[in-house]
Amino acid sequence: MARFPAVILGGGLVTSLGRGLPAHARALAAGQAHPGRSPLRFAGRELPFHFAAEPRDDAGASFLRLIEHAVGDALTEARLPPEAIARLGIFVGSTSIDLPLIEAGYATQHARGSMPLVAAPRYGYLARNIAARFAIAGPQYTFNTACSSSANAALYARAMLAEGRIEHALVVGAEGYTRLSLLGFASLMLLTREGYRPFDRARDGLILGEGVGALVLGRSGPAQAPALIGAATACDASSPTNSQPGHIAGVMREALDDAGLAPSQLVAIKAHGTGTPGNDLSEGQAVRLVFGDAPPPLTSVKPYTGHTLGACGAIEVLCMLACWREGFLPPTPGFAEPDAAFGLSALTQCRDASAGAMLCNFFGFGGNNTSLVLRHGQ
Amino acid sequence: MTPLKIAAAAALRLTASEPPEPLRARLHQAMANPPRRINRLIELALLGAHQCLNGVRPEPRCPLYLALTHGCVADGVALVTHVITRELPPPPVNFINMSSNMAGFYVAAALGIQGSNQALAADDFSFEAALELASLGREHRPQGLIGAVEECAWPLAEHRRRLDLPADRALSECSHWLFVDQAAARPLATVQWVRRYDNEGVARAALARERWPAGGQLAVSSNLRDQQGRWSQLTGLAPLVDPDDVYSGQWTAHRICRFIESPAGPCLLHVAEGAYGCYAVYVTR
Repeated sequence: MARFPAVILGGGLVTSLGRGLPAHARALAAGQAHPGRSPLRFAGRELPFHFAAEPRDDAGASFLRLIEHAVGDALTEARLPPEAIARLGIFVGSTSIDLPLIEAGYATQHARGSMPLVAAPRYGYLARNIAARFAIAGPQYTFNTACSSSANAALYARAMLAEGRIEHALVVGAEGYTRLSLLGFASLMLLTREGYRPFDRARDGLILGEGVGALVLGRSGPAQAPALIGAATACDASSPTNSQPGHIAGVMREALDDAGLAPSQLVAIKAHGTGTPGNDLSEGQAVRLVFGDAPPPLTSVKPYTGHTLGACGAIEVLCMLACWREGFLPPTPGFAEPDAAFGLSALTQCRDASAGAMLCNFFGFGGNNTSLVLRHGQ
Repeated sequence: MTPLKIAAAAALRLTASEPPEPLRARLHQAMANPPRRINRLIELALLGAHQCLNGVRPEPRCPLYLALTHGCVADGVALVTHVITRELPPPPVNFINMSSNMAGFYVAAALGIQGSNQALAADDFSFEAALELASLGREHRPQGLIGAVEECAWPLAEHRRRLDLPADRALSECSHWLFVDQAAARPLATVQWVRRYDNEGVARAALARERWPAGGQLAVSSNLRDQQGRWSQLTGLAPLVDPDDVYSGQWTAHRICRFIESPAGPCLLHVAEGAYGCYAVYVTR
């Protein structure tokens, strides 16, 4: 693709940290993580979880309300005329898609003692629901590529904008609480017992979270507006759960090439940073392959929001933009000592940063690796 | 959009029956060492992709787009039931395989490709959306694999209720694939364009203005079946009549891949109506 900045015209964000970008900037500046507790237990212990900080009634209805709030806020900030909203292309990225609704419906009926039927998943449901709620009549695309889902949604939204197939795009990363996901990660032994510590030598796993991030992208916008200026994705077919450092490094390099940047021109890396031993090792070694002995400041925001799976692409891009607007990069809670296997230090306190380009990594099961390059204030 | 040259195609449809037909034996016929511990959706994807490529090895960076409507429904149903009624964690392998992009992963692993690998849905238009994405940046990526896979969950009577279908409606599973190769000297067919219209009226007006080759065929989505004659009159194309009335979550892919496998005329126009407008796909031999 020829150099193309997809301008970020608006953002909406709802996670355990609150609603809106300013609330997230405040929470990330504090540098502390505050996970909640789920009602589930595994191997004799309670499972932590980052529930969105919004009123919670029926799990399915709550999930749709999170989406409505994030999308509504993004559209408000973008200030598009109604005719432009009507023609928006919708790009949803999610791992569980409508599973929170299906699971909640089934659980309710089961608790009543009826003989319920598990509904069929409708992979296009969330996009259709957003379109109906906000009177959007443009094309709809839903990406289901595990934890890179909404990063891929943003990548393809930018590609469609670049070719002039659409004028504006609404990118939504959405992930709701489900018992299946939480117990699934528990059964994979990927949940932490000791606390979230991405890149730390004593890291032992992750904490999940729910949330929604929504971005409005455009083909043009104010000169100083942040933009998605590069992207790449590829599939490492060597393992369904652990990608090779060389493959990840290749994706990062390709994203930088797409942005027309050398590694030395970055001001920061927003790592995928799941905090699992294997994933951080691969990502850390990949960073070394691309950046050698002089990587830019590196951070992971997952300890704040929890790992929001398919939504993390949109959510974490917006978290970084929220901080950037306030002139800082957030630290990585829980990081204390580097792992000698790759020797990277994550930020332990806020770092001043107001302008430049940032690499954002997102990796998913199925070898699905995606990197985005963001520009702010240049 | 850049026309897509189709170098190979496969239309694999299995009529569902009780009990489900095991796919393992077919898989062993299709490939030397089929992966173990995979689910039915992955098995279907592998069968269709191998039938399509028939030994051809795509270039290593060939992207893969997998269109889905319901995706991994059988494991989804089983695992939700397991977690809620038994209050136990899901078996790890089943949980990982439930992510629909695992089907594309195993196809990529079997073919040795490592380009973009997308599991994609678009309500009623997932195959059309996959064609759209596959046509992006075609000047840089000469090849592409586009699949459409759907499975059933057993028992079928329950699955019909899940899909809100009549109790006597026949069900099918499918794995339809196209292999795009822009360098193909003698492509089987060309997807000339994929177009979206705001509604059926706009589609009708636009398609009436086109000139269509004599002897071409017209297919419509199942919800437009009553109006197929009207569409045929409008375009002058002969209506493609389905020999049976089997439910499929991937009608567009079925029609297009079957046409390319065994063309019955110089072109096929497929028109589908859904929740957010109409899509038309135009394929020529």
